[in-house]
Amino acid sequence: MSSSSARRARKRLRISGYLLFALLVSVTGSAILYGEQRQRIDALESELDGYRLYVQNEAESAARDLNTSLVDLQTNLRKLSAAATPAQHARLLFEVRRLSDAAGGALGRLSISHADGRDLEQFLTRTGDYADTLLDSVQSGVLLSAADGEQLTAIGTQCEALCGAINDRLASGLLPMGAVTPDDYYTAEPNADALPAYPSLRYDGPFSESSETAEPKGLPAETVSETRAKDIADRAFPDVTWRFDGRCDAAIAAFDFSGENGETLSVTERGGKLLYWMLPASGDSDEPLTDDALLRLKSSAASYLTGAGFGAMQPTVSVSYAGRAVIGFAAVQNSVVLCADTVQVYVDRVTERVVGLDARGYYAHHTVRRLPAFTLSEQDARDAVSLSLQIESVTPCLLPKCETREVACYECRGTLGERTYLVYINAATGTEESIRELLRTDSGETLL
Amino acid sequence: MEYRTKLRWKAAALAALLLLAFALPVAADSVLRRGSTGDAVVTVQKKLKQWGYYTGAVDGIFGSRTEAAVRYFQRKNGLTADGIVGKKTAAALGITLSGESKAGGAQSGSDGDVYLLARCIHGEARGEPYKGQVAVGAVILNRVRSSAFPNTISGVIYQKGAFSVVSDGQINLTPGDSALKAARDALGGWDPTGGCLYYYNPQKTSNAWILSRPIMLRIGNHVFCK
Repeated sequence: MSSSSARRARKRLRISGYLLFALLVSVTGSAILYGEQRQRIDALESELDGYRLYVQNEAESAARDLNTSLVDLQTNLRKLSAAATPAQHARLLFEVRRLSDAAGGALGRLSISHADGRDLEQFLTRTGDYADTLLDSVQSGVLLSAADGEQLTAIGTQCEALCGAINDRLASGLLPMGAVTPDDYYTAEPNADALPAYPSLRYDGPFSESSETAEPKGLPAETVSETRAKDIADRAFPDVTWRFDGRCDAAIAAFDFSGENGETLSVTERGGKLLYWMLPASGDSDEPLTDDALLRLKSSAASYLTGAGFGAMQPTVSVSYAGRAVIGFAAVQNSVVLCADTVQVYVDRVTERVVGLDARGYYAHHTVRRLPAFTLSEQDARDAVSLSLQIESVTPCLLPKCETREVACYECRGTLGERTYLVYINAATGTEESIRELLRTDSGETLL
Repeated sequence: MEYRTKLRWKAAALAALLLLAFALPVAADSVLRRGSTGDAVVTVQKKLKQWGYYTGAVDGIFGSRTEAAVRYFQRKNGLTADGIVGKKTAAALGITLSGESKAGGAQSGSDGDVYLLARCIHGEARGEPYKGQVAVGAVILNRVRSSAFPNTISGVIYQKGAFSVVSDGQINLTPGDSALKAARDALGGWDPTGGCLYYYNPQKTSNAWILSRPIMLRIGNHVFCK
């Protein structure tokens, strides 16, 4: 063999060696990759099966819990028609409220579409709210009226139909399932398998129809145009170049504007009032406010409100964050605090100037009240409060119980150990209408 | 002989690459950084405050002020000033990291609500105008108050299918300062939507049900409705 032939042979051998090595590596790599992928797929499939089973079990458990709560709800509603004393009514109404909450919780665990479930959720929440409203009156010794009895019977009938529908689903295995992704959250068409429709309740509580259709009491009927609203914005803040963002057709219709540096402002369509405005704060401090600083900021906020024509207002609670203190105020009429008529004033912590206002509570509720008689004296209210509470102050007020009803109360602020409570004593009957805890944190105060 | 040696080296390099590609585990130590929350953050903040490095609120939220304080502490103590509390910084602070705190972790009480709300706002509305971020927070809170939705912030946010950021996991991103501030403004009562219960991006939605809702206002890319 010549030397050139030998070189060619060695070269071929070398190339073959490279190719063989590359092939070997590819095959080994692919085998490893395939094995890894197969293992991963198997593991994922097994995990998916586990999750699927878990979701199915959860759905069945939720449906059964919903059914149990509805059956118990129905039983307690029936017992109500047989009860004759306020004490028994109170016990049963408390159960109705508790079971409505439990049924609502079970419903929340079902994977049904929001469009399909919202009516039932609303029905359950309103049933609980209705029971709460009735509980309030029976606790003051008033028996249930015939109209209330009729409504409770209607709710009971509805519960019976619901239980039947859910039992059928459980028996057939056709539990409403599906809303797992955002695409499922809203269904374009009502689901044919959706749960039955429900009656609306006639009552006056937080979730009654009256609360959703309430007209703003603090605004005149006359309306302003967008152009006029822009004038109002320009006059209020001449240094800001306001741009019209659009209308907000909410409960209080308003024209929204924004400035170039993050300023924002809303002018009400009725009456052209500044409903909300906010300017940027000069700092971003989250440090706790000292008592002196808070007093100064409250004073600044109060002066602003007086200058803006809000009349007599009293500070309530305040918090501080992101360079601003947010100070709540409630309107006062003849020394009586109108708890629903509130504004929040934002004060810059550095400049101590007002940089924002939210007057929605005020314009939604404020009107001159015909104040009810405060039959009991302040001393009577003090005597009605728990002996363990150290009373610091007593203030007459109108406490909102629902959209259309306010109760004359004495707000008794007192301490128990290191905690502060606001106890509202009915100024006519001496009963405790409400108790709130005033929680103090580094950020400020919160009412619980 | 020389070519065989090269071949061996090449094979070894290839094998090493294969090993790297298939089997390299990534180890990560438990650390506290911006966005972390929980009791461990409280401990760090207390220590820093006690020693005069930190003047902010002890709230268990590792924000920009806490980060700045950690950097200050690290510079003064000869540590790498990266604003992250790792093993060395924790040891210098006299604390032990137990790994119980995590970015985006749950908190108790109202701070937890602020943080959860901020996470949802961050996922749903980052890049939107600030007012639009507050509006997303306000919609969540309006749902809490509504009789047609669950009664808690977590109930509303985690309602099945209600928010895409929950479905795709973006809820677990660490919220920025803007989202945290927006959450506080929304919880403080600012509702730019005037009581809206829904919002959507008209460019991304074709659902007939949501499109049939009466529109109340537009902010940025979102339409808000009842």
